Amino acid sequence: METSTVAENVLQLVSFTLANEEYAVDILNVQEINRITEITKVPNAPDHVEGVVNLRGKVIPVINLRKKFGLPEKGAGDTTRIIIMDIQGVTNGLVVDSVSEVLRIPSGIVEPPPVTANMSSKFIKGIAKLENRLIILIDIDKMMGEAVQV
Amino acid sequence: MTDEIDEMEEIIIEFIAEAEESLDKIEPLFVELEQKGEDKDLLNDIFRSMHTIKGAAGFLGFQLIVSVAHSSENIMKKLRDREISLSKELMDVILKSIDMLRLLLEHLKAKDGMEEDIAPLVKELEDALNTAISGTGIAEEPGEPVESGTAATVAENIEPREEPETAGIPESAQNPDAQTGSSPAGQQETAEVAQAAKDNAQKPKETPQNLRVDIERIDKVMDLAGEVVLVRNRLLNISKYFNRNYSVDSQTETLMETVSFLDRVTSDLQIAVMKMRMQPIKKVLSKFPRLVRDISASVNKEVELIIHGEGTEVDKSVIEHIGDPMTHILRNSIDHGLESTEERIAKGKPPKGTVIINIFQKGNQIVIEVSDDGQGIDIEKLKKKAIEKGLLTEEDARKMSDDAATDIIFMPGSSTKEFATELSGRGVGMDVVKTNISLLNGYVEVSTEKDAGTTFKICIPLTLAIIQALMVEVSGAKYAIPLSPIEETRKVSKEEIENITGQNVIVIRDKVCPLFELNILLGNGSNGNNGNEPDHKYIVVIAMGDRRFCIAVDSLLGQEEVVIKTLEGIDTTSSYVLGATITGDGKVVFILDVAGMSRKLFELIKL
Repeated sequence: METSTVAENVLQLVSFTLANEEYAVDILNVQEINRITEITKVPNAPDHVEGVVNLRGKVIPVINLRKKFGLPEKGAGDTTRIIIMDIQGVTNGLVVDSVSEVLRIPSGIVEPPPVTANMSSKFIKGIAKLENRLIILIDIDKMMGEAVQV
Repeated sequence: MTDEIDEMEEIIIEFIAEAEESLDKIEPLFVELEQKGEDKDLLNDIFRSMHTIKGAAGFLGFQLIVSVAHSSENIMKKLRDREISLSKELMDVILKSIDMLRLLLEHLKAKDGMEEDIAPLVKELEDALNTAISGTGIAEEPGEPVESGTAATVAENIEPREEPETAGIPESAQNPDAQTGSSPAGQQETAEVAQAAKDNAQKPKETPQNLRVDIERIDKVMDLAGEVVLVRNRLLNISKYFNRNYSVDSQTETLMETVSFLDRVTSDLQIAVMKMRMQPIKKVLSKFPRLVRDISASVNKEVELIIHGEGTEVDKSVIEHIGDPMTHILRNSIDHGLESTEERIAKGKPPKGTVIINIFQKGNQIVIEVSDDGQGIDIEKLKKKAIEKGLLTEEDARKMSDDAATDIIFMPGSSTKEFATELSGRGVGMDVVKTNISLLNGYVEVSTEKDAGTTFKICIPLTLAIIQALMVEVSGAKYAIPLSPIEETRKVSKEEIENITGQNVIVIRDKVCPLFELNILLGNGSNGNNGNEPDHKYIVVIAMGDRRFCIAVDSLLGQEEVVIKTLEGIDTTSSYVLGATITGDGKVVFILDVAGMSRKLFELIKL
């Protein structure tokens, strides 16, 4: 969180949607955003690992966030994107329904995650309340740390 | 010399690298010396190397190194001048001083500022020298103790040719068989080292030019060369397309020519880069004579180590990983394989055991054989132990062929020695060897004959970065199978496939071979044909050591040279995948881990 503070207490985030919910990740983790390309399936891999893609000669794993969060599956559409992220030195791709915008929000409007039994809530860093929408901030290090260990 | 820290640092790094090389070079010479007796050339050589270390260390102010080197140099000087004669005690203490020098260098390298207490060792060295002198009856004053840190000592130790600014350079010119390993001198046999070193000392100017290059830079070039290979493959595909569709256009021909030239150059580039990473395996072997000496002394056995083919060049990655498994096998051979001297005499064998390391290149593989002329592996005892430890059922053991039974030693938790010794049998067994070698994409097998000895044979690919692979297809997905373990490919009809107790098998030249559907192995569920079995299938016959199995695929696409890209960020331990590659059309294709497959499959069916 601290690393994203550009001016005092301002967070820069990239927001995206998954099943009508809006999520966001720290912009510093985001390397680039690509249209969906051909994904090669990994044999005997966990379900949420969509496969691997060729990113300019580098083979990187792609995680399906819908599956990771236990949301219903949906085939790739026009808006489907892969967010290429650098997470602790490892490059990963995340498949999301669509990418919305780059946000600058004051950290004051972020509230701690609600205490729920939902398994994916442990990846939530907080919830940002904007005028008429809620954005779920994802703790990407925690989430990928787990994905790698699976 | 300037006061700039960077420059000083560089000189120190240079010094450490050279000193380590010198130690690597002289260590086997000591052991050779012990075998050959007092060979004047050898002694001269050792003396000179030690002197160089001392001189450079003195100049840089590493007083501890100077003291140790000085004391052991004193002994060598007396040995060389035949004032004392070589004894085992003397050798032990000299080898100890080499260990200490290494330790001191380690501290310098780590910059941990730690110091070792060298006083006991220096005293031991002096005592040993004094004992040797009094032993030979020659009246001689004891080796002069080092005056710590005085300018006089330092000045005396530096030879005039070593100008301060160039302190590190003359040595590097004298060490052509150093780091890069690409020089012809790097392939000398140990026996020739003494002579070569002598020659080098006499005409240092004529030695081949070497460059010390940071390995990261070479790896970067390697990566880029890999990229060029991929682009070349894509261009080849595109030019084929043009040749098919626009063959009338004269530019097409030019394109074809240009691409085929690029093709050749790329192949050459690839080989050249690969060679940059190649080093003589001698680098690993140089520690073995000493190791064998120490092990055999501690188990009270007489052992002669013979090494063939130490000039064989292998990839750097192989050099880094082969040392430990080889050490383990050597220990095992000496500790478990060879009999005690009395036993050997009783059996009518020569009292001195022999361990032979034989290294050679076979195709694109490196074969390392470690053989001993010991008692061989007692297969019945091995089976019994395995049953006791619950690694095998009695029925399995009875059915097991002798060849298969020797593989028990590679199972985790099997050790046939009744008692753990200081050296081996500490619970860390040969399974570690097997694991380490399969990490190198290689395999190890063992053959044994009662009372004649045991041979471990390690096969590993020459390089780990680029491999020849067979491209196959199942249900529309392409996979690459490394070519080296493939024995053959065949087209088989449905009738040829038989089913024995639920396992599909096929008979190839009178041998029954289990058959697996690649689709099912890779977790794609059914074989993708919706129950409509085609009349024919293609099978790939894989041989890993003496195990053989077949993989059924939909079609064979041909052979390709592929660059292995490691997979980061996903766990592939259960996916039978050792890496991925990018094909000419930019697609990602997985390279199958047939070694892992073989292990898993044979665990399941227990053949």
